[in-house]
Amino acid sequence: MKLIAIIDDDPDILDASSLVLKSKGYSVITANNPNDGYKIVKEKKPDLIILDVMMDEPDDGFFLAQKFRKEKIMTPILMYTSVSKAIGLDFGKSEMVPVDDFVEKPISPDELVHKVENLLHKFEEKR
Amino acid sequence: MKILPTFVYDYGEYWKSIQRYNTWFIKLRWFAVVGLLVLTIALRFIQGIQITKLQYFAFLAVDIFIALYNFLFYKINPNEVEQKVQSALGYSLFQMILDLISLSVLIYFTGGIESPLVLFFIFHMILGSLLLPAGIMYSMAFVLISALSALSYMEFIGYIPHQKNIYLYTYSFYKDILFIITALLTNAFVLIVSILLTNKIAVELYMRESQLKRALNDVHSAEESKQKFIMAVVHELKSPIAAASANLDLILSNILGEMNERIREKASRARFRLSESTKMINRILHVSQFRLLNQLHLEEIRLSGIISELLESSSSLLTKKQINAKFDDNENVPINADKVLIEIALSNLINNAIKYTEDNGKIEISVNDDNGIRHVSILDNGIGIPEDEIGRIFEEYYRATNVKKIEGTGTGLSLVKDIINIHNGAIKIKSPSQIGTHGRPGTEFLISLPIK
Repeated sequence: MKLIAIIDDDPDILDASSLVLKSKGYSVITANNPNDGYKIVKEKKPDLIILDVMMDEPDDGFFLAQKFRKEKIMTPILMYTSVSKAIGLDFGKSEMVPVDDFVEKPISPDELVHKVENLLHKFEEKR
Repeated sequence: MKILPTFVYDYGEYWKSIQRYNTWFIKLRWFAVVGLLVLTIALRFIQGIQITKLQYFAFLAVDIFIALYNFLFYKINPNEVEQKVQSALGYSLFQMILDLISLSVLIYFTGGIESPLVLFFIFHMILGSLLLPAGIMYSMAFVLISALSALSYMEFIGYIPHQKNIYLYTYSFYKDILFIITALLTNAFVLIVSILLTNKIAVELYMRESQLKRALNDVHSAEESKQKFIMAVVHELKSPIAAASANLDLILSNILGEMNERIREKASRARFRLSESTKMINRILHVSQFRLLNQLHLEEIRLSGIISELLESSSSLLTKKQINAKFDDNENVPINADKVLIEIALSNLINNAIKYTEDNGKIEISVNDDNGIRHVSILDNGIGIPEDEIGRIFEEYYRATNVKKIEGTGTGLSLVKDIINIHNGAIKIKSPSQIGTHGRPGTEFLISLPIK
C-alpha cells in the first residue's frame, strides 16, 4: 500500500484530500505546517508528497521542497499552487522549483487521484 | 569640454528642450536675415542717415553669411540623426558663436561703441543661459566686452577707422573717453545680470520639473504596490473557496456515503456557484497581471467559439429583450492570443451591444479573414454614441452622456482597447452603424487582429 504525505495549512483541504485518497486505498499521513511536514517525511518515508505552496509565508512550500531535495529525499512532489501567478513569479516545472507537478486549487477528486496515480507510476518507471 | 549644465536631472527632457531651442534658433535666424536685409536697404535710402557704400556692402555680406550658415545648420540639424545631448549642445554653442561673430562685425559697421546693436548681445546671453552652464556664458560675456573694449580703444586712438553710426543725429562719441567707459561698464553690467537672472530661472525650472518627475514616479510605484496588495488579497479569497469546493467535491463523490437526488442537485448547484466565483477571481487576477506586468498567456484560440459561447450565455437576455442576434462565422484558422483577455474584450463589446440596444433591436456579429488580418465586427441598432463623444469613448472612466440612466463604470472599453492593442491589433468605432436607422443609430465596433 502506497503512503502519501499531505502538507497543507488548510484543515478542510487536508481533510478532504486525505479522505479522497484513502477511499482509493492509499495510506495518508498529514501535517499542517512545514516543520511537522519535514518530520513526517523524514520518519515515514512516504511514496509521494502533496505540498501546498503557501503556508504562513508565501514561499514556505518551496523552501520545504528545496530542503527535501538538498537532503537527497527524491520523493515525487505534487504541489498545490497558484499563488505564484498572483505575485507575478510565474514559473513552470523548472530546475529552480524542485517539484514534479503543479496543480491549482480547487482540484476535483478525480483529478487529484489521476495526478497522484500518474506521478507514482512515472516514479516507479524511473526506478 | 563639458558643456552640460550640472543642474540637469532628466536627460530625456533636457534633450527635448535643446532640440526645441535649436529648431527655434534656426527659425528665428531666418527672421533676422530678412530683418537685416530690410534694415540695410532702408538705411541706404533714409534721408539724413545714408550709410556709406562700405557699410552697405558689409551689411549685405554679413546677411549673406548668416543666411549661408543658417541654411547649413538647417540641413545638418542633428536632431534627426544623432540623439546625443552633448553634440546637440555643441551644435547650439557653435551657432551662438557664429551669431556673435556676425553681430560683432555688424556692430563695428554701425558705429562700434555707439552702435544700438550692442543691445542684441543681451538676447544671446538670455537664450544661451537657458541651455548652457553659467560658466560658459560668463566667459562669453567676458570675451564680448573685451572685444568691444579693444575695438573702442583702437577707434579711439585712430588705429582703425570709425564707421558712421546709424542714428539720425550727427554727433559722435567715439572720441569721448567718458562715454566709452560708461558704455562699456553698462554693457558689462547688463550682460552679467542677464546671465545671472536667466540662469537662476532656468535652474529653478529644471528643479521644479525634476521634482514633478520624482513625485510622478512615487505615485506610480505606490499605485503598483497597491495593485500588488490587492492581487494578494484577491488571491487569498481563493483559499476558503477552494476549501469549500473540496468539501462539496467530497460529498458529491459519495465517499462519505450515498445521498438522495435532491440533496445531490443542491450540492452540485453550490459547487457550480463556487466554481463561478473562482473563475471570476482568476479573471481579476489575470487582468491585473496584464495591467501590472503586461503579461500575456498566448495560445491558439478560435474567436468563433468564444463568440458563440458568449451569445449562448446571453441567450435568455436576448430572448427577453427580443433582440435578433446574427453571427456570421467565416473563421478559417485559429489565432495566437491570450484566451482570457480576448474573452473579456469580446464579452465587453457583446454585452455592451445587448445592454445599449432597446427591445426588438438587432445585433450583427461577423468574423472574416482578409490578407492575414482577422476582422471582427459587432454591429447594433441601439442608442448609439453622440458624434462629438466618439473620440473619448475609449478613455478610462468616460461614459457617453446618453447612457446616464444605464448602469456602468466606464472602465470596459479602455480595457478592451488595451487588450486589442497588446495583441498588435486595432479597434475602431463608428456611430451610427451600418444597420442603424433613424431614431436607432446604433454602434459599430471593428476589431482587426493579425493572424500570423
